[in-house]
Amino acid sequence: MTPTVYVHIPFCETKCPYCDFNSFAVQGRDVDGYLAALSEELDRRPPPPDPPTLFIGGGTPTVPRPEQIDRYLGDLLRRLRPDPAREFTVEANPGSLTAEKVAVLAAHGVNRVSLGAQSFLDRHLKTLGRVHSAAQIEEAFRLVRDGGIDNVNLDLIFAVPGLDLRDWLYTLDCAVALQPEHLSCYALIFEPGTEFHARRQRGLMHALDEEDELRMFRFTERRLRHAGWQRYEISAFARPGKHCRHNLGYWRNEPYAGYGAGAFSYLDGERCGNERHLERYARAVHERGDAFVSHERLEGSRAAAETIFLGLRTRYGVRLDSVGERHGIDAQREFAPVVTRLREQGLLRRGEPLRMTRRGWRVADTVSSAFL
Amino acid sequence: MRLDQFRNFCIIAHIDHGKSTLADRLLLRTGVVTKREFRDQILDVMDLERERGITIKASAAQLPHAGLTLNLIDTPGHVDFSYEVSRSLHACEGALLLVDCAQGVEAQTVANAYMAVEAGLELVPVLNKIDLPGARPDLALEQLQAGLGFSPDEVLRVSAKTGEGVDGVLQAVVERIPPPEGDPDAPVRALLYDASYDDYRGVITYVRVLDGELKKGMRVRFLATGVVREVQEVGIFQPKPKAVATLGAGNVGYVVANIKTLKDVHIGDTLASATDDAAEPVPGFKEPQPLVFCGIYPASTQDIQELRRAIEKLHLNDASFTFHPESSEALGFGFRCGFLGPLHMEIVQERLERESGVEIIQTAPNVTYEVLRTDGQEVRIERPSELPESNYIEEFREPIVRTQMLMPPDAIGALMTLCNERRGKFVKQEYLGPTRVILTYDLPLAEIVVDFYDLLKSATRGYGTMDYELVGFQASDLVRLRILVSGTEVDALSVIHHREDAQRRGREVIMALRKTIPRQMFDIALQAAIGGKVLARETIKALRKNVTAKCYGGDVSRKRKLLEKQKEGKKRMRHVGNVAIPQEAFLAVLDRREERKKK
Ligand SMILES: Nc1nc2c(ncn2[C@@H]2O[C@H](COP(=O)(O)OP(=O)(O)OP(=O)(O)O)[C@@H](O)[C@H]2O)c(=O)[nH]1
Ligand code: SF4
Ligand SMILES: [Mg+2]
Repeated sequence: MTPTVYVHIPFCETKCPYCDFNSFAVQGRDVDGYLAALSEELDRRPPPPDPPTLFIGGGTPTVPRPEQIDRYLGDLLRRLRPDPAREFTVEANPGSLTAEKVAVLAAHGVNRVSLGAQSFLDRHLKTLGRVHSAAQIEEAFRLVRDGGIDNVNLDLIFAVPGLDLRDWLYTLDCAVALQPEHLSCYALIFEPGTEFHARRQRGLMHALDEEDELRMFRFTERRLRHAGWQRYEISAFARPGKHCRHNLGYWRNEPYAGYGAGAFSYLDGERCGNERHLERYARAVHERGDAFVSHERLEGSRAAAETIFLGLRTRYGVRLDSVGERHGIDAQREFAPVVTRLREQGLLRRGEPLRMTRRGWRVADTVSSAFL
Repeated sequence: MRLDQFRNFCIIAHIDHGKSTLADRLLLRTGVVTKREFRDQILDVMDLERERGITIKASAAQLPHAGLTLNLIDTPGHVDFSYEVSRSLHACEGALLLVDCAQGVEAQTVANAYMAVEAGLELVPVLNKIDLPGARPDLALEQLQAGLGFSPDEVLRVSAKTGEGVDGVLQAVVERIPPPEGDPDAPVRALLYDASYDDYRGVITYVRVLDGELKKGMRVRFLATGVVREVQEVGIFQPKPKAVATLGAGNVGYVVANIKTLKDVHIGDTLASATDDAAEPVPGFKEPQPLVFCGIYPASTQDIQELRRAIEKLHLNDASFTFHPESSEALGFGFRCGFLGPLHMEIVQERLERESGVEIIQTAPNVTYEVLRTDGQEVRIERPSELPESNYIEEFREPIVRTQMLMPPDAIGALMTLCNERRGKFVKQEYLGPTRVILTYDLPLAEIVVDFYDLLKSATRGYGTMDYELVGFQASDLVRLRILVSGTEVDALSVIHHREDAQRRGREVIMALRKTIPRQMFDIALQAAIGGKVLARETIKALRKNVTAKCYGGDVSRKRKLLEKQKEGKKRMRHVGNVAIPQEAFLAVLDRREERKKK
């Protein structure tokens, strides 16, 4: 199977206090130096010429100046065969997106934009440390559409401290009103190493009550189903035919080639992580030709369990026979006791492929960990 | 050798007053160990002794001095090991009673001094650590005078650390401690005062020869067991075992006689010549009985054989703890073990874990109980589940210990409150001068096994010390506190408690469980009950939500590892019905810190 391609642009306007991605405030950073290293990595570890999907993520790939965006997109595409039908996503943030930048994206064949909207209430945008306003989301959305890109995702965050169900439904309604093709709705997570996490440790911030969060999760599904979106993964909703093919590849445990600081690759059954630190990344690429600092290869049932855990996140689920075939084990037999137990608990549906029940999705981690 | 060439003495004191350090000094001064061989507390040879800086097992050394032979025995200071002291006393005519003069007289100072006097030993009081800037020799002296009746001019002053005054100690040993009595020409009789186990040679018995002499090749009989063996080796401690040709009357040393396990020897037994049918046993002493019991289980059930091997091995070295297999519905197969006291329990457990590499789950400790059944039968109860139904119990008795607590007078109030809360009965209060009080209470042993010592320490700002001895069993209003998880009694969590306390204790256990049992896919009811009467209940609500929002290419490995960890945690849980209970829950039940915080 041909790997998909991911490229990481680690710059943002400012660092959001809840974010644990490998991203840095752009101020004072050597963007050109980074792009040169990225180009060198693409040279020395060439991507497959015909990847099924492309995804530029970050950070905020639209934070660099237009000519810098033009440069890295050109550097990437130079090494690939053109394919207008291929899904080509770029992440963007309201605030830093301009008509000029959208034009650069469109000129390179970008056909999908994922906008970090997060909330349509300025109050919550402030809590989240976002530097844009609700009004700017709508402007950015128009810019993308006007630029001829007709496949747009909005990222939204719920379970923000101080947010109640009404607030969240308001944000959902605003998002629905824009008619994007895709919506990603994440519950806020206090990830270790983030400022939010530290604040919570010190008792300065509190996670939302579990019942409230659960209610938001349930209402999201209802509201969006009625408006024509289908939940196809725990956090992902799409209009018919508009699911994100790139992300589905991750959930099907399919291969990908990642470039840039902190990017991961999964090639020939081995998952390798790049150095996260920008200068060390550049040095490693220059000295060794790659920047891998971690390697992991799973065999047999552990690999199979991983495929199951990822696949169960989607509404399509996983077929045990094909998992078994792929990883060379008798998955039916190996996982039969777990499957039986989870079915008895009402967490897995009956029949093939294996799929979670609605109740199962709420406790997906409990379900997945049963296989590991 | 003539009897008057020997001086046999031990060093006794409260914990950490410097017994082992003084022994070091004496070994160096008499040239038994050279500076090069020397290390601090050289007689503390076990790893655990060296790590914890305490003596657990008594050990002996022979010192040549001024043409005489001095046999020294270093003893442990901790109350759980006082049986080691009491055995050692039987091999000696005198004892150095050491007092750290920065601390003054403490509980084991008094307890060990009484024990030595009772055994007929000559006491030489020694103030140690006079080099310390905080030393108050005057206060310590006053306490020795007021509490134990010593006159100021018989008290020596030393620093075991710097060596100051050590010559005076040697001189006092020679002059004040009487030489042994006995008949070198009579048939051999020796008191077996201790034993240890050696992987190669089997049991090594430690003896004090009373009459006659022991030598290689002779056949000896152990009078209590009737076992007859040939002596393979006799020797002395220097401090390592060193074979000698003969061990004569008055001397202290060891005998190797082809004994395979410690079970075959009785400490306190008498050795005599196999042909001497008229041999009378010397009055020995009673082996201590275990008073505290707990279940010991492997954290992972498959480690049971490993654990068994470790327990059997340890038992070879320490016959004072008992064990037999038991099983628990919640914990599977394990062992019920008996210990001399809480520190002994802790130490055995640590040695087991260390030596076997098996992680251990310990159940709540309980003491031995006596039950008089309605049919007149008396039974001993070592675990709550052995308890007969309440309608078959005529009388339920628990062990009572006479507890002596030494402290500065300003702590008396706090200590009395503590003792009253713990169902104590006041016995008496005595002053050792104006700075020290001895408070004596009879307390149920069950009340002091878990945390009493810590509480005493905090009530006296660290100055209080305690000692206790069993005085007997007493009828008491005890009940079995049952702990139920989703309606099923968890045997490993159930405990025996005083009725008045059961309600509070039940709440504590339930709260501890609520904090440690993770939520599961269904509600879990927790109950504490006596018989069918529920005293406390709590519910752990079903898990409602457990889902990571994001999972993309970059986080797959990390997320998977997090989930694997969740799962790993689960594997080590024990199942009661369909409820998974983590190991911490069993330990949390033991932890009474919460209760303390409330006070
Ligand atoms: N300053 C000073 N410290 C001493 C002296 N004697 C012993 N110590 C210290 O006191 C501590 C306890 O000494 P040990 O010899 O282990 O005491 P112990 O009485 O054998 O203790 P247990 O066997 O556990 O009862 C150690 O840190 C010694 O270094 C002394 O004369 N002066
Ligand atoms: S913009 Fe996105 S990537 Fe950048 S810091 Fe904020 S959340 Fe993280
Ligand atoms: Mg010692």
